[in-house]
Amino acid sequence: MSGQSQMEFETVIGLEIHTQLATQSKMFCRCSTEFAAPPNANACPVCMGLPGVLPVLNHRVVEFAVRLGLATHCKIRLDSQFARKNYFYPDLPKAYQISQFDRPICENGWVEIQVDGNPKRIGITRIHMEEDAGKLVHEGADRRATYVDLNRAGVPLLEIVSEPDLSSPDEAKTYMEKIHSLVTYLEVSNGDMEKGNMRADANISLRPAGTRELGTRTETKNINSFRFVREALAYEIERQREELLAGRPIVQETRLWNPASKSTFVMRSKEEAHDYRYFPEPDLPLVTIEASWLKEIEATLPELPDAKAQRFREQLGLSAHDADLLVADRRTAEFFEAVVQEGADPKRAANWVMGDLAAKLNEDKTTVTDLKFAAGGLAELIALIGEGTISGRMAKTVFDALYETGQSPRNFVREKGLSQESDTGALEEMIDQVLSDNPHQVAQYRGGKQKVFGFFVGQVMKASGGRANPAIVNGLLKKKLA
Amino acid sequence: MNDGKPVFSLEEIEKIADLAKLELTQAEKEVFSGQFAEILDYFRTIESVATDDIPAYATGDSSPHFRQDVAENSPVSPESFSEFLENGHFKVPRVIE
Amino acid sequence: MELCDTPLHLLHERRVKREISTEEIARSVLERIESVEATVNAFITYDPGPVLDRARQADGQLAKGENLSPIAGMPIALKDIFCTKGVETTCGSRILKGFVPPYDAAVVEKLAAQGLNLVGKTNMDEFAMGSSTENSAFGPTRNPWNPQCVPGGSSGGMAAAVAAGEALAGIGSDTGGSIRQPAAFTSVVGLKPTYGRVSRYGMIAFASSLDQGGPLARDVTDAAILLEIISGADARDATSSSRPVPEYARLLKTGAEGALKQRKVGLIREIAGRSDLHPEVAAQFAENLQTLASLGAEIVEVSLPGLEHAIAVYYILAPCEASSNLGRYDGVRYGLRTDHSENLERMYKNTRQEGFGAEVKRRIMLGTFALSAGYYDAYYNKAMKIRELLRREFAAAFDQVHLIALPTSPIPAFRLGEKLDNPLQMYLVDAFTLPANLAGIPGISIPGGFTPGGLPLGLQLLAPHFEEQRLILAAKAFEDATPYHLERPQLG
Repeated sequence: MSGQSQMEFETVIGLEIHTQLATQSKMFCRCSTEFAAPPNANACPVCMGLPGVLPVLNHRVVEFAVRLGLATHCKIRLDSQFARKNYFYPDLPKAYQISQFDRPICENGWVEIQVDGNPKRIGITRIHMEEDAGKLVHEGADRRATYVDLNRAGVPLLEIVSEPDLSSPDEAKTYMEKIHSLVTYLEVSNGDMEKGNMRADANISLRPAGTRELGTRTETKNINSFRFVREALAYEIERQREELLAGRPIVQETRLWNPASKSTFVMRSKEEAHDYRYFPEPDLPLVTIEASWLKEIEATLPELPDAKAQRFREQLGLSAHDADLLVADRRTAEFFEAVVQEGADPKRAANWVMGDLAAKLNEDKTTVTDLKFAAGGLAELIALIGEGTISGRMAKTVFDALYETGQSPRNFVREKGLSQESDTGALEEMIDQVLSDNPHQVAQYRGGKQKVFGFFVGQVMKASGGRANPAIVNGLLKKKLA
Repeated sequence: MNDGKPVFSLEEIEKIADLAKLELTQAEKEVFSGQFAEILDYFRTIESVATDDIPAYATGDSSPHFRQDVAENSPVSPESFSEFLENGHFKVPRVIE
Repeated sequence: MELCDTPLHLLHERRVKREISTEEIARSVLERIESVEATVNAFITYDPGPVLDRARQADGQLAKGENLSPIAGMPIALKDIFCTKGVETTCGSRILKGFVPPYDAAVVEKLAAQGLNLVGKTNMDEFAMGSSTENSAFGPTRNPWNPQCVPGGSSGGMAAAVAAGEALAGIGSDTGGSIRQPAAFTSVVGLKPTYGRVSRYGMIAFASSLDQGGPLARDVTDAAILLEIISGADARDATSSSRPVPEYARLLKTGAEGALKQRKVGLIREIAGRSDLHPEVAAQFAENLQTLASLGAEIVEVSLPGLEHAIAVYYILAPCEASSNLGRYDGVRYGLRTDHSENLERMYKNTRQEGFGAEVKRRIMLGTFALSAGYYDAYYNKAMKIRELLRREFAAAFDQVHLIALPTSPIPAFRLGEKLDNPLQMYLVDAFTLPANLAGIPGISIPGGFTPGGLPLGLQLLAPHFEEQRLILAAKAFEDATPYHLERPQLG
C-alpha cells in the first residue's frame, strides 16, 4: 500500500543511564572499587553474599546522589528507602540487588540540551542509588563453564531515568553526553566509558506523526558509548518502522545491542519478564538527610556546564556552539579558561582547544590533565600568531613541538629560526620573481581568471620556505597585479 | 487477592517454585497446594483491618547509619570457604546469554 | 545440685573464692554431655577437645589474681545460627553442611573478648524456621523434661542444653519467639532484647526486620550478665542501636526487691479468653498474676486489638524476608552444590531442592508468592501497615502500664511429630511471642510453673523499647518469689 509506506512516524525515546560512582570503597562494604584487580581480590563476605553479613551504606554515595539530583533540578527525598530486587544470576551473590524502588532519592528534575541550536528540556523521572553486579567470564579453560568475578559486585551506581522526551538518536546522544558532562563536573563519576563507567538502556517506541498515544515500546540494553547510543537507536527505530510498515505489531520485549553486528536482538519477551519481587530492604534504615547537610552539598556544587557556557558566551564572546562544545568536558573547559587567563584571545584559544588539541588528544586517547605543557604554553603560541611572528602554518609545527615536548613556543621559534617573513622589501623581491617566472598565469589573471591568485600565493610561500606572512603577501600581490 | 477461597493450582505452585529456584517433587507440590490454600485462607483476616492512614514503613526510631568512604583490603579470601574456585574465579555451569 | 546444673554467676562467685575451679565446672558439663546428649541431641557441633584447656586457662588467670569476667572459661554454647570463625556453622541446614565461616559474628567477638569457652553449636530448626526443633537437618532435639516432647524452637537445642546441664548458658536468636518459647518449654530464662540492642552481624538471617539474638540462661542474673556482654552498637549492622548499654548485671547486685511495688502490669484483654489457651496454661498464668500482685504489682487490663492479626502478619512478613534472605544459598560460591551438570538452572534448583528441608521450602514458597506481581499490596504492604498499627497499640498500652504479662506459649511442650503435618497449627503456637518481634520490643520468658504432668510453663513479660532493665528487675523479683527455676529435669 503506497499510503502506508509514506506514513510518517515520530520517535519516542527514554533513556536509563547507569553511572558508576567515583568512590574509593564499594556501596555497602569496605572493598576497593579499583579496576582490573585479580579476580575476587576486591571481594569480602558482604559483597560475596556470605551468610549473616550485612550492608552498611557508604556516606559518599548519598552525597553523590544528592549532588547529581541538585544539578538536575530534582526534588531530593529526605527519607528515601532501599529495596531489594530479587533474581537469581551467578553475578548477583545475594540473589538480590540492593536498589531503590518506590522511594528513590531524587525525582522530577530536568536537564537542558541543544537541539538544532535551540534549547530543549529533557525530564528526569528519577535518580536512584543501586549496587552493581559482578562480572561473568565465558572464555575460561573449560568451555562448558562460566567464571564469576565479584570485584565489581557492590560497586555503587546511580541510575538516571529520563522521561520519554527524546525524539531522535541524535538527541539521545546529546542527552547522554550532557549527563556525562554533569557527572564529571560534579566529580561523582570518572565517566570513563572505556571502563564501563556509563551504560545506557533505551526505551524506544514509534507513533504516527501528530498522534499522542505512545506506541508499544522495546527496551534496548547494553549501550555503553555515545556512538552506540546513536547506532543502536537508529537500528531499532528502523527495525520498528519496517515492522509497522509491514503491518506487523511491535512486540514488547527486551533487546540487546550487539556492537559487532550493529544490530539488536531479542533477549527476552514480556512473558519472560522477570518478577523481581521488590520489597523494602530490611537491613538498612531509611536514608535520612539532614537539612544542614543538604545545604552544605548545595553550597559546594561547582559551576555547572550550562552556567559556564553562558559565561563563555556573555563574557568571552564565544558562539553558542563553541561554548557548548567547550564546556562538555570540565577539564577541557578549565584548561581553556586557563589559556584565556594567560592572555590569549578567547576565540583563538577556543579554536586551538577544540581543534588541534582535541584532535591530538583523541588520537592519543588521553586528556588535558595529562598534557606535557601548561595553559601558558598555548597562550604563548597564540600570542606569536597574533603578533605576526609566525604564520598559521608555522603554528602547526610549533604546536606539534609544544604538544610532544612541552617546549616553550617562543624558544622553539627562536631555535629553529622559524619566525615569519614580514619584511615587505624581501617579500616584494620574491613576488616580482614569481610573476616574471609565470607570465602565462599573469595573463590569465589579468584576463579575469581570479582563481589564479591562489597559485601566486602558493608560489611565494614556497619561495619563502613557508615563512612568508600570508596577509602581507596577499596585500602586496593584489597591489602588483592591479 | 482473588475472591472466594484461594485455590492453588499445581501450575501456580510450579510458577512460584520456578521463581524461587526449587525443583519440587510431585508429592511436595500437592501437599503445598493444599497447605497454602489453608494458610492463605487464614491470612484473609487481615483484609478487614482499616489501615488507610497507616504508613507501610517504620517511622520514628530509624537513625542514619553510614560508613565513611574508606577502602581496605578484604579480610577474607574465597579460598577460605569455597570449593568451587578455578584460577580465582567461582566456576559455574555455563551461562547462556 | 551438680555444678553443671548451677547458675553461672553462683559458680563464678565460688571459683573466685577458690571453692571450686573452672576446670571442675567444665568437667561436670562435659560429663553431663556424655551421659545425656545421646537422648537430648542438643548439639550439631560439639568439640570437647579444647574445653578443659580453656577452663584451666581461666583458672590460671584467677590464680594470678586477674579480674575475670564471670563467663571466662565457663562452658557456654551458641545456637548454630551464629557464624564462628573456623568452626562449622550450618544453621540446621543441609545446604550449609560443612560451611566453615572465615569470620565471627559480632556476638561471638564480644563473648570471645570476655573469655568465651565454646562447648558446642546447638541444634535448631533449619534457618530458625520452626517452633519445635524438629525441622533440623541433624535430627530433632528432645525435651530434657520429657524426651517424648519437643523442646520448643527454634533455639530448642540451646534451651535443652541449658536445661539439661550440657552448657551453663548460651546465645539463641528470636524471630517470632525462638528464644522465649523453648525457654518456657524447658524451664530456663530466655530474653529477646529490643530490636537493634544486639548486633545481627554474623547471625545468619531468617527475617531481618524481626531477628534478634539474646541469652538463654539458668536464671535471670545469668541472662543479665550475658545480655550486657552481647549488647551494643556495631558499625557493621546498620539496624543496631547506638544507645548506651546499661549495666544490666549490676542492676541485680542491689537486689530486685520492690521492683514491682506499685507498678502497673498489663493484662491483655484479647488474650484472656482465647479458646486456644490451654486450660493448664491459663490456670498457672492466673497463679503467676497472683504472685506478681503479691509483689506489689497492680494488674491492669490493656487492649491490643491488632494482636488478633499478629500471626497472619508475621507469617506473611517473615516468609517474604526469608524468601529473599535465603536466595544466596544457590550453590555458586559455598555450601552445598548437588548437581555439577552443564545446566545452571538445574544446578540452582537441585541444590536448593536437596539442600532445604520441607518447612524452609514452604516458607520460601509462601514468601515468594506473597511478593510476586499482583499480590504485594494485598499481603506484604497490608501486613506492614498492620505491623505499624500493632507497634502503635503497644506504645499506647505502655503509656498506661510498666510491663505487660502473658503466658509465653498458649500450650505446654507437645509431643514430637504431633504438629509436623499441620504447619498452620504449628504457626499458631507462636501467637504470644511473635507480637514482641513485630513491635520490636523486648520480652523475657522465665520459669513460671509446671503442668500437673510435669511439663514446664513460662511467664512472659514485655517492656517498651530499650527497657530491658524493667524486664530484668521484674523477672528477678518473680524468680525470687517462686521455686520454679530451682527445679531440674531428671534424665536417664
